Amino acid sequence: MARQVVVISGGSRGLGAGIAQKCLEAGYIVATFSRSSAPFVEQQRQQDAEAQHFYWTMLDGRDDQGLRHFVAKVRERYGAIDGLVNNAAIGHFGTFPLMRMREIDDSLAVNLRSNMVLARLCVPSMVSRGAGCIINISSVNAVRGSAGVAVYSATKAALDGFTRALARELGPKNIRVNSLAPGYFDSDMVAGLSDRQLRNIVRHTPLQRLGTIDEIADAALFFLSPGAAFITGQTLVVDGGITC
Amino acid sequence: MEESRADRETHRRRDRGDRAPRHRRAAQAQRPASAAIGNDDLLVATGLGSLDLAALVAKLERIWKVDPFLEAVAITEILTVGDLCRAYRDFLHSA
Repeated sequence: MARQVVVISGGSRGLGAGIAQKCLEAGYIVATFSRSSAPFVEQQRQQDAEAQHFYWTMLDGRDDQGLRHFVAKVRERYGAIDGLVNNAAIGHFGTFPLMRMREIDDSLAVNLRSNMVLARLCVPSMVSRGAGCIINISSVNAVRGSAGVAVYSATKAALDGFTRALARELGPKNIRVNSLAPGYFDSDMVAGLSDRQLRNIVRHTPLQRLGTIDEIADAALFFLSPGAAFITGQTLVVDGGITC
Repeated sequence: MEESRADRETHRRRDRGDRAPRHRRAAQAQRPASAAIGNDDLLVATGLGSLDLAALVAKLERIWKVDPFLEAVAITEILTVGDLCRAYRDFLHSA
């Protein structure tokens, strides 16, 4: 059977790289982009100079033309797009009344608009084949309110709404759309938290620890797998129980 | 003999026809099965659903490398087969 092709936005580091790594190990072809390279990307490119299984390009998701070119290149190179993981996101955290307008615009542009545009460009390939899987990376902040993350939470909750509507719309073409809402896991996103904040998070988590990138990526891999063939329109919260 | 629940359900489904929207079923019913499709025909009357149209647009994009509906044309302006042809003709001429 031909290898399936998964597009991942922001796949150079953090969770995006973790999902890309898991997908490669599971036999998928991974096509990804990010604003800058990273050790994970360089390592993959060294191992696969012909980009047979791993394709990366430097691209800012806010660049519509760049996204169009990227998707066209992926289709030209690999023929089809089977999966899409909308992972690219930025986090501008802080007290909302003190937030700069530009930070609001950036959050909406990267976390929401760029992911919608990417989906718009990838879905036709899935529709014409009558199969596909889209995973929108949401957040526990879309499910629960927390101080200091108002705009970030809004963008992620919007992605969940996007997930449900798109699942309804594309289900008849056998395209599944789901959200994955990670809780606090070991990543750059929690690097800015103080020890006291981290202890507090762990104390409120039933499993008494932070998650790992591997654990979140495993959930993404599950959504892509045939094991999730009857799951669409759902938000899977992977958070050690902090929202329960 | 009294009709079983399964029979009633079968009859109800038959009465209801397929699950296509009523306007599409009505439009299809007015067309002879063998009639050729013309420019003035409503797309909905050809039996093409919105996702089928999306699949057609995706296939045409593979052939012509363009998708007029990405930026230039609103799909709501496309009602007939002729509208669809014109959208591609105009877009390709202007490219």
